[in-house]
Amino acid sequence: MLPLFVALALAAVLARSKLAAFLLSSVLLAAETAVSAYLLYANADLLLFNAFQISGFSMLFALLFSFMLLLVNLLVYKYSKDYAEHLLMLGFVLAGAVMVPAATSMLMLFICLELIAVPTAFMMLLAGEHHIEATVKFFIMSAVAIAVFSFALALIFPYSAQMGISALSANPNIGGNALIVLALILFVAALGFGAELFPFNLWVPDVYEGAHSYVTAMLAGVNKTVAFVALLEIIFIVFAAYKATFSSIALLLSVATMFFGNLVALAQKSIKRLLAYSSISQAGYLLIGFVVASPFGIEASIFQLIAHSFMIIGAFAIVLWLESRGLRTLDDYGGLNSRNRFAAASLTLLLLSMAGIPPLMGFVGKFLLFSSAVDSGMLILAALGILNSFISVFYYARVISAMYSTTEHSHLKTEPFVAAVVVVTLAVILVFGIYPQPLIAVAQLASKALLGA
Amino acid sequence: MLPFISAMLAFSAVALMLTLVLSKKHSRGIAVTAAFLMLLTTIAMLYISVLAGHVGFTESYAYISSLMITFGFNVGAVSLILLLMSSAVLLVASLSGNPERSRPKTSCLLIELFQISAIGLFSSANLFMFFIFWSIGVVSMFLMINVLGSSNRMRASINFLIYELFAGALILFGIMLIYFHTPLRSFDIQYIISNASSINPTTQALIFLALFVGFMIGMPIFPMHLWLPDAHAEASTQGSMLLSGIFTQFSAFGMLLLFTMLPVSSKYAAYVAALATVSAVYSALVLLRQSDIKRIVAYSSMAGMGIILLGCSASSISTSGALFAIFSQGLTAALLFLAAGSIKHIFGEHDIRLLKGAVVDAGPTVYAFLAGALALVGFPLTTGFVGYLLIFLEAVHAFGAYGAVALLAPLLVGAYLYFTISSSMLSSKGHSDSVGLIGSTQYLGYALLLLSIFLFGILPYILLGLLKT
Amino acid sequence: MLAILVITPLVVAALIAMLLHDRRAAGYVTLAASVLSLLLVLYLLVNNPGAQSVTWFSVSGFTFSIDTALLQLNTLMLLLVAVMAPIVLLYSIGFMSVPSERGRYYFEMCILAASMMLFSMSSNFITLLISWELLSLASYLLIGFWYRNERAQGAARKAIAAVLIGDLLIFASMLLVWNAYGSLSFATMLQQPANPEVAVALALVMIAALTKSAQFPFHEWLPDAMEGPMPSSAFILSSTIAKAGVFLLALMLPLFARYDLLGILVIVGSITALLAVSNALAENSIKRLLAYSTMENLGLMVIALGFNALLAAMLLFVAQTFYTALLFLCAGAIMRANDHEDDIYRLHGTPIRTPLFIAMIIGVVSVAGILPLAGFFAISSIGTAASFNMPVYLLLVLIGFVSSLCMFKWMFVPVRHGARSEIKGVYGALPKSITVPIYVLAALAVLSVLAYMYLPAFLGAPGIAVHGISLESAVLESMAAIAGLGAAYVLYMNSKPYNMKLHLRLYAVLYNGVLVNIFYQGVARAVMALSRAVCAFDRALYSFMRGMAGAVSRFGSMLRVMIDGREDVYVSVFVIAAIAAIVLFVVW
Repeated sequence: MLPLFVALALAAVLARSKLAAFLLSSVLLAAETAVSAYLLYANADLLLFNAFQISGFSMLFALLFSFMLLLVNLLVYKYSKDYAEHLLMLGFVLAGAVMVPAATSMLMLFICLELIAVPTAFMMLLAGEHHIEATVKFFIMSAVAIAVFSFALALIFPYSAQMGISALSANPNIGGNALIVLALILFVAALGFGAELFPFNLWVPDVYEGAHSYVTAMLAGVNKTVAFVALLEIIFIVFAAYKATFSSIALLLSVATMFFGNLVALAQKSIKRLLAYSSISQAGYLLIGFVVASPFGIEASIFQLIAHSFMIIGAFAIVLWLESRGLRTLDDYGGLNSRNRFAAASLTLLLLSMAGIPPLMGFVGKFLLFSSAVDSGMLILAALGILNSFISVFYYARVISAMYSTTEHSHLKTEPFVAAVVVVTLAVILVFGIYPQPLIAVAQLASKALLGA
Repeated sequence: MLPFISAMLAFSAVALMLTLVLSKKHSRGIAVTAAFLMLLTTIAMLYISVLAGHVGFTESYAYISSLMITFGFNVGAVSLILLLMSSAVLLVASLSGNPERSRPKTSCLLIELFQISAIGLFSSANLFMFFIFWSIGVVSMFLMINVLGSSNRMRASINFLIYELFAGALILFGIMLIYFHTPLRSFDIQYIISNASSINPTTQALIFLALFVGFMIGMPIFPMHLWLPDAHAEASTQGSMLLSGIFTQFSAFGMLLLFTMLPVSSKYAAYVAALATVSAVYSALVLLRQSDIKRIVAYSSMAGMGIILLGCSASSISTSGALFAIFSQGLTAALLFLAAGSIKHIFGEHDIRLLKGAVVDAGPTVYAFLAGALALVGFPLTTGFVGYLLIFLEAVHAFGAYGAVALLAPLLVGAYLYFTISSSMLSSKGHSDSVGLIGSTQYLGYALLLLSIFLFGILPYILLGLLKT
Repeated sequence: MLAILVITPLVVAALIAMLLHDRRAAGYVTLAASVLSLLLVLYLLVNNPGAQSVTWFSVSGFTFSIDTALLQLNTLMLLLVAVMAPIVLLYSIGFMSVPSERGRYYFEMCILAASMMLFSMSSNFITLLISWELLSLASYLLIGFWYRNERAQGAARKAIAAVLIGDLLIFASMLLVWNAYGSLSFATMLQQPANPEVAVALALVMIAALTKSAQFPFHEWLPDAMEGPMPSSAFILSSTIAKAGVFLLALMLPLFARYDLLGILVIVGSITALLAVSNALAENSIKRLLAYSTMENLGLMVIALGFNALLAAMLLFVAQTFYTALLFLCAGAIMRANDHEDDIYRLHGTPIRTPLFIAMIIGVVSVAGILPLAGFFAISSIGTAASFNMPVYLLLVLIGFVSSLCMFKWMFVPVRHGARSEIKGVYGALPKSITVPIYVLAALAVLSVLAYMYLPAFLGAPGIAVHGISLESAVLESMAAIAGLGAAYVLYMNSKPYNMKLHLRLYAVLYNGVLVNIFYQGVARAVMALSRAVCAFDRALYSFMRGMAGAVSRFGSMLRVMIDGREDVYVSVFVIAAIAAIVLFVVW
């Protein structure tokens, strides 16, 4: 069923006008979202074609990815030059993304990761010549990552010929083996590239800034989430026996990522780079759930993943719009409130959510993550997380202050497509910030499905 | 039992929506109505409590059931008194407007947001709610200073935000520790009060430290007070009124809660009292060199906060004294800032040395300021007197003669205020130099606050009687 | 409750006065209220309700109440205040002719009268504290009443500086007593066993009383208090604030005796009286001379209390109330007629054959302590009480001489040449509301001689030492007084009166309590220096915090610079990190 939609997306490419393509693709993506939601609600649990696991976990993320791409589609439609090509790329990304949480074999996982990385690079290139540098950087880094991934795959090959995920975890010999730990580390490195973990994330600021903002939005919202999902599957299913080792690795990575992201963000003047480092620090927080490795931690990470995707796409949507009007740096954003109330207010809310201010969704996610740390007795990790949250306020507040300062400029008209995306993300972070219980329940469901399988 | 608290939250939220949607002509009316309704509701609750002989309004709705957090409210005597104070201050703040910069829509939006946070925080039944409403208060205060303040507001508001969020981080840490170490894992305040002794002492000490430093920043207490003078100097009249009248009382209330909840606090009582004394006297000493009228009020109210902390640290009657002093401090600080703001508006001047003879052009304002100053240093017949009386009686009882050292603070503050008012505002002047007028709403504001201060100063048993139960 | 009812008319009048603002009615309403209070006081005299207690509030089982008692001393004081209030208010109606100030003035006078009445009835610390602080506020407001006058505000600040210390000291002593006995009523202190904390508390109360009654070293505010409106100065100095301190001392006298604190009173009183008369010698202002005379009288009362001679002190207490007020009101009338001229050397002359002059004579003779007026009896009995203490006794005689000299100077210098005819007319045209109170007071001053006969019985609880008047002290005092009269006549009752101001060196020595001023300035400077140090520390703390924040920021910038833009760095770091992790986790 899922690949079918990919095929239909392809068909959409062949459609005559850009508008028709857009409408058709939107409808398809919406349908995909609806189907995933239905399957999630129905608590489906079955194996499709012996290759795709439909469970709470996979459906939740399928829902998330299709919805994310629906939003990105809006942005791409408005701002890209060759919409048809972009739509094709989006279709590939969709296929890859939706299949990752449903994968039952490592090989499938590998293919899907490539399926996502290459079109993304291509999209970057399509945006224009001055985006070449970013494209090249991204492509090289993803090449390295994929190479590392395949090497790691080779290492675990002996334990299951089909590379089945559950088969691998079921294999009793997989525990206590130094080579497997090596493989684990290599997997972490490879996925760390996508998940933006330090020190595998040095490409992030350059690529985020260099690429056109709709690609950045997708990178931050979709690609990163996919990497985390893959990490979830690999660590907690395949390498379930190595929880302790992974915990220590993750602890180092998490702390380093958080600090790196927040500290360097303090020095940023360009908004896109600032958001890039902010995104890095969010990756650090997300990893806390992995360090803790308890069901509570995984729920927290899943919740925050969802929150983060929405927040970052909303933020980059605004950045995209303002960039098209020439606003790039902190100084440019000065007095934004007087130019367009909506932009200032919505960006403020999104930044406050990222900073972890109640009653927004970002706060709930961070709260769950830090609580899970305290729950497992890792007080210092929780304290460091809270400290980092506090440090991040410095730079978010700087942006908010700049926006509300009183420098008079010309008025900016609100762009309806961007407004639509932003309103949706704002609605999500407000609603689930004030009343998060449904989403927490869903996250619990997903986590149970993950660990149960 | 009518759901008073949810009703208050509901109509405040409705007011917020309406202000957002309607034009700026209606903003002020909506804000005043919302605050007035809040006052009426609180008075109704007070009336019911007095009739029934005890205070207890509880409401609870499921919220995050996986963490057993309810959207719960529990209004006891303490909360009711503080709600009363908040509604009075909010009403006066929204009524008396913002004579310096009129951006009615923004200021009313922020006032209503602040109203929501005040209602929620003082009635919260569990610490999670407390923290959420506290953070909402921080954000609305930050925006109020940032958007509506005067020339140097960037630095002041960011300073404020940083200090308060750091405090928030500490409080969050403390709250989480409490949650995971109580046997049943709950944020519920009543539950914590009865079960806190089961938390092991080292963890309790850590929790105490985290929460204490967090609330200390908010009150503020030396040495975490550096954000206060700048924040006040740059904020608008309404901003200062809400900041000193309600926001700092959030932390004072939290401090009271802390000492009630954690049994380990009594071990540190002496140190806390010493710190409180130092803070009070310190702020009184720094006050002596101030000449900006808003900084004068800021440091004076900081001295009052030090004495409130002193009251929190001792027990029995001084806890009631601290509560009453918080009530008094909120009203008094609001009055003083209203008067200061009006003076600034009338004379265009905020250096007190340049305000000679202000009483000729702004008589009611100057006398309101004098009355507020009297209330701040604990003059009899005002609410300040009752609070200080109870606090110091118990402080000397608990800590011996050292408990009375903090009396230096009201002495210095009182002397300075008497002197300054006399040498500047009440002295002679050659010519009239007023540049602006204030309207009847300001006088109404003075009247309302003065009435509350003197009414509860002369008849304190109305409120103290509630505490009996 | 009944006792508190006495002040209700005044409280109501205060509120009405504020509303009536600047109409004449404000004065009339206040006058009526004070008369009503007087009637109520007289009723209470007859139907003494004894000690009463009104519960104010209770917390955690402790009850705080406003206790009043109408013992003999209380009743005496209450009566004095109640009698003086209408007199002064009547005078005010004539004296305060500027409309815009009326509402404020009568409001403040009502507060003064009401709080003084409450004070005279207090029998526990709460009542005492409330009325005490209200009195301080009243002094601040009334002394600084004419705010267009810079000197008035300066005087108000001096006053509040002194009495504010008193306020805090009473508060502190209350805390100590509570700590010792758990109760705030005065009676407990007498009944319970002795306690060292209470000794400290009583010492604090004593110092507080001294601030209110302008005793050394808190005496600076009294002469300057004359900057306020004349009737209010009269009220303050004759029966309210200045007397409040002495009254408190009298009330607590048995306690002071119990804890052996009386010696201080003698010393302080003597120094004050001495300072007062020496300054009076050099003083030329018609008002300030009287102020110094009052200060001297207060000093004498304190000395008497120091010798545990309650009766002697109260004799002077009662007499001084009337003649001080009388003299002040006369001075007011004189100044009125002379265009508010203050310097006695420049007055145009007082009319000799008028009732006003007779009133003046009565007043001055009383002050000087010449038979047969009340002053003589009072001062002689104080002398008798001091007679076993030779230094103090001699000092009293000396003070008697100088005070008499100064008071007659006060009278003779303006009178030395008769009034010009136009001035006579002005004096004749003074409104009744000004002259009537003066005559009433003159009558009361004469009648106060009766106090000598009736006061012992009135106060008559056993244990109050009834000092008769020894012949020796009577003679000595009279001689001193008449010597003063003679000296004054010689020096001042001629066309070129001796003006000390022209003899600068003598003047400088006498005129200022130099040392006290230095002490005060020293204290003030020390506090300001401390304040400056604290502010500097504050600023340093501020810079420190900002520095820390800056350091964090700079660290971030440093990190940024290290990795900016170089792809080769990224890949290398990737690989190195992977290898490092492998080494760390696999090998180790």
